[in-house]
Amino acid sequence: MMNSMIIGKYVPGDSVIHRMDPRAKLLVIFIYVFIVFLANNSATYAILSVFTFSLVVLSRIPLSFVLKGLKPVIWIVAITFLLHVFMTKEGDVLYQIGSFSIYEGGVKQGVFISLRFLLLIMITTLLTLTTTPIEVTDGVESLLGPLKKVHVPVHELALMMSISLRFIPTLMEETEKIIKAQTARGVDFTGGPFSERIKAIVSLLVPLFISSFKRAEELATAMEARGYRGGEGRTKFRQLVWKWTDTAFLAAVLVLAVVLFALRS
Amino acid sequence: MSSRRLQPWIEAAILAALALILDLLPSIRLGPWISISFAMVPVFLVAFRWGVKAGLLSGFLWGLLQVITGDFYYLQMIQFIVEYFIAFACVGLAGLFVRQIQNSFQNGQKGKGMVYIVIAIFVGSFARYIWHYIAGIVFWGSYAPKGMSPAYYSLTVNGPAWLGSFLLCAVVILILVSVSPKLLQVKR
Repeated sequence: MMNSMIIGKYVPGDSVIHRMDPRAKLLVIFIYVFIVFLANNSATYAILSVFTFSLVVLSRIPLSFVLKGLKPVIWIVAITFLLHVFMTKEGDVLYQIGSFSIYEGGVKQGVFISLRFLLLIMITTLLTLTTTPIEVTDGVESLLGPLKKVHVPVHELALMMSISLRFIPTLMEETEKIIKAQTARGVDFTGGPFSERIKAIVSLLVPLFISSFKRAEELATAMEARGYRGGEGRTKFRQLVWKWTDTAFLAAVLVLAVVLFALRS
Repeated sequence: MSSRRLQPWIEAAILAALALILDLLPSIRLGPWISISFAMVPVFLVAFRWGVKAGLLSGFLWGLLQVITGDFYYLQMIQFIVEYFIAFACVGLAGLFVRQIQNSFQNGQKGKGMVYIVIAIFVGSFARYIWHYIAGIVFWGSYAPKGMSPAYYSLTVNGPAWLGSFLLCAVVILILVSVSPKLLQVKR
């Protein structure tokens, strides 16, 4: 059940993409999700796909991993595709079954919209495959840094984010342990009438909450004992370093934006 | 974040992680898109313990965690922000009733406290699903079956999901606080 969890998605590696500064990765993706919408004909979609697949190749992550990330959305993509194929009535009739007719424009529209969706999911999957959640957090904190000037608690949010991420595996293990312990006592988590399921949920939640509150209290005490005083003047163990490759990738995505803009119809 | 008041924020962070995990447990499914889960329970507890600020933050973090772990549907920038940050954060609005809930339980008026809890859960879950409902009309409307208005389509998807989660969360939390009132007690 927990094996399907996506947090273990990160695939360690030493590719150009892995070594990129998380800030550069986030910026590239941020620009990418905007320019995806510029594509509106075969040429622009082809260029966009080539760009995206080049990134996957550069990351040296097996394609099967990336495709696995697409699995949960495949139904939505399929339904979107079919809806567009059947609803759009433009261009020549390609195929006719009884009163149903499929138009060229519909197929084109269906392919484009699904492709756009798949490319978006692919690029975000690539980010989570090549970047640890902690790196993402550091990157976000650094990029949102200027917001501190307008009193957005950027550092605090980043800290909470890393605490959450740090505790996901721990809590997951604990959840599994409690489920096993309660199953051994005869609780059925997978089926049964509604009232039994509620009882099962409660038998899981009470110990889980009590221990979570205890962990939070211990962590707060530990941090206070070590003199934690918030973001001002705090130094970092992991320093982010901007390299020339980061500038290169950023330039590449900007060039892509210009090309898409020039070739769109 | 002053050092003396670290605990609410750390609790909000840890329970947001817990919400993410509970969301993965087998939930009660009503259809391919509609499933009711009790994943909001941790955020409600944070809100009932520390109030609306911690609750909002915990809900916001839960949304952020879903995004970082890759569990989201992206259609448009605004849809994405509304459905993953604003909607989830709004669960924390349940914390508006923190004073009434805490006072009732401290004064031994368990029944009164429970009524406030149900109201608070209603408010929190409603505040979340109203955003999903709006997003359903504005952004997912084009996916509605032909001849069905987007407003009605969104209602058929989000209505049962909201009602189901509201009832499930309310029942679970009421049982939780009656078997273990300790869950609401905080050292201030």
